[in-house]
Amino acid sequence: MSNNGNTVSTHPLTRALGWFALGLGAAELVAPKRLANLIGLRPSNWTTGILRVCGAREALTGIGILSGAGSRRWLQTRIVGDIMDAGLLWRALGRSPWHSFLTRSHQRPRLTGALLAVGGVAALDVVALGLGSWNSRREKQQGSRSAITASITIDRTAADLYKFWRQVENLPRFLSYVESVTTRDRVRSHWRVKVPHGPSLEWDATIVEDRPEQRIVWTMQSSKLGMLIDSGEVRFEPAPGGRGTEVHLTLWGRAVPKVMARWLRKLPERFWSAQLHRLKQLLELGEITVSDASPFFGPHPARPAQEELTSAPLASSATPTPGPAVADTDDGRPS
Amino acid sequence: MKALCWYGKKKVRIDDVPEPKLLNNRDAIIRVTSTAICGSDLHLYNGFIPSMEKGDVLGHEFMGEVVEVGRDVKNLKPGDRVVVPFPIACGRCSACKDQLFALCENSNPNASMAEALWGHSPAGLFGYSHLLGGYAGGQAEFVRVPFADVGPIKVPSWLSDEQVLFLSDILPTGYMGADMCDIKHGQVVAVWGAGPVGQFAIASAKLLGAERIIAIDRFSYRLNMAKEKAGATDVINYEQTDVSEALSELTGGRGPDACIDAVGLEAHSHSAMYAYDRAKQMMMLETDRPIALREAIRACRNGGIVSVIGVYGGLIDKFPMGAIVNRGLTLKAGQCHVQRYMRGLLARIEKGEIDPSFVVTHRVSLDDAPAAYQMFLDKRDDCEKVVLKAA
Repeated sequence: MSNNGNTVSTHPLTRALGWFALGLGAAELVAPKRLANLIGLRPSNWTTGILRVCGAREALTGIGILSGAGSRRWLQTRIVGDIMDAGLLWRALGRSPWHSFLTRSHQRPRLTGALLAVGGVAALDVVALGLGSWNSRREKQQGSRSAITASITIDRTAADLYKFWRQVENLPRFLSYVESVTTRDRVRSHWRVKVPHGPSLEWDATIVEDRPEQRIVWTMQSSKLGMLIDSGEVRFEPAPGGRGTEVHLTLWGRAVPKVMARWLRKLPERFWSAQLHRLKQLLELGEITVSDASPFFGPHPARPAQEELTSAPLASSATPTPGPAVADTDDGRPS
Repeated sequence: MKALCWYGKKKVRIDDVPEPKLLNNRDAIIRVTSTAICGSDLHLYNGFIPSMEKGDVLGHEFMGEVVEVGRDVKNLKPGDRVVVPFPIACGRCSACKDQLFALCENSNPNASMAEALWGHSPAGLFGYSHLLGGYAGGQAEFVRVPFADVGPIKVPSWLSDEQVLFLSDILPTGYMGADMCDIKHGQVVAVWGAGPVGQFAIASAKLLGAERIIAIDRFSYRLNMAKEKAGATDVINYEQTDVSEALSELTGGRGPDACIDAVGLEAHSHSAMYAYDRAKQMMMLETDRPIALREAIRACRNGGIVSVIGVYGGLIDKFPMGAIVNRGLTLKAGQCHVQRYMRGLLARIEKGEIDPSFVVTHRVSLDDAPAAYQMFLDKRDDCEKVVLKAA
């Protein structure tokens, strides 16, 4: 966050807002009565007290913004402060019991003016914040791009896993929604995806790095829409303790602002984790485990389905099945 | 076919649903003869377990007759009489190879949902939420059993349904609770909760050589059963007696060598703590009420073992970690690895070392299951265990 902050504070608008906050804060702290008169508030002990508190807050935010450290946070604080101020002025304007407590009659024009001023400054705060994230976004596009990662350990050799993955026609067997993958030549393939209740997508993929039993890297080219994901890598590494092979999947896409990325990443990472679990089932068991609800997109009760399952989950016998199950070999507890 | 379906908090009813079909190659279809309502079904009934859908078929304790098997099931044939363990386990992943069947890596199709809540996913279970797989349960006339070559075991015809039905869950669960206590000669074990799992934890502690077994509950009929049938040497009714004082008295101030929590997330007590946890649960500030667990940790002797077999779903509050660390306690927990214990326990039943049917107090037809849920919840008519006759 702190380097985001630095990019924000370098902008002249941000610095101006910092100085403005400092000035306003000082005025509120030093001359609350005059300020109250100016904006149409009743200059009582109460209102001057409130103004002093607001002044302390303003001065603090001003210093925060100008110091440059985490000034993004401070700008956000300013916006919250603006909302508070506007709320207070709105109360004074309204017909609530607050009205007579905070102001005198015939002060409406001054109050309205003050409210508009607060609104204007708030708008500038939002703009400054936006400039900041635009800057940091541009910075990121030049630097690292956003990545989604998912990993799983599968009880097969790296050779088995590489062989399965390199034969890209195999991939729709565990990837949900992928209708087909057809190979064009040794490295190029064409992908068709149908998302339920969503769009049909097609793209070409090209393998750009191919290290047997270790790693495959590919890029994706879509003629229609700019794709969120444009390249990917899968690595196969032996798991320690003879536990099979670790599959590490990384997908790169458009750079996304860091704040958004943290949230945006959760959903695809869960999706890709689910996909890798399906791969594990396919390669360890020879088929993908289904429950009563899992073949359906979206919520479905855990009860036998009325409808025939169209995409029959019964696996073809093409996948080599691993060794026998263990339960019959050992009763576990002596009696 | 008829099946008991969940429709929300305290709403279950018998629905007519389609009969199950084979979906995977290692599936079997079982015609259910007997099934039971589990204490953990009451957590679903009371709406404490997330990710339920309206229309879910409940039930994870069931047995019956095989009617159809998938092409890769070689050890079962139509007509076999089997008991089915409640965790669904593939038998081939590394967890299954380590006999940790309730942690099977391949049986939960919604593993990524469980990962979001718990960090990693356990095995899928029958009729126990979508977080744990979205599998239809066995409180129905028929049920589909995945990995039928691993889970179900054949039972001899001379044993009645009620003698073997509880191999599906509560007998092995109680047994694992005692097994985790590493009971040595002369040891004292305290069991919180004298429901069916607590009864079997007591009976198992006795089988495993505990010298003194203390049952803690608030219903005298359950405590009587613990003493007369399960083998408890002492009982404490926590509504009449202060539990920590009584345990201190019974153990010469040491505390029990091992404490078993067979209560779980809906614990009761008459203390202010109960009101506190109830309120936090209602405000969604904690999901589970760990009253029995806190008490078990406090009571356990220095260096002792706390074994948790009661069901917890999410987060608890005011967890006495200080007691665990400073007094060197060991906390063990788990959903039961039923497949690991079933055969050994069936042998014990065959030899007459234990007859689990002593917990059964009510036998009703599947049609009357909704009323039976409410009776079990209210502990009416001295209800301890309800067996549903599906056929």
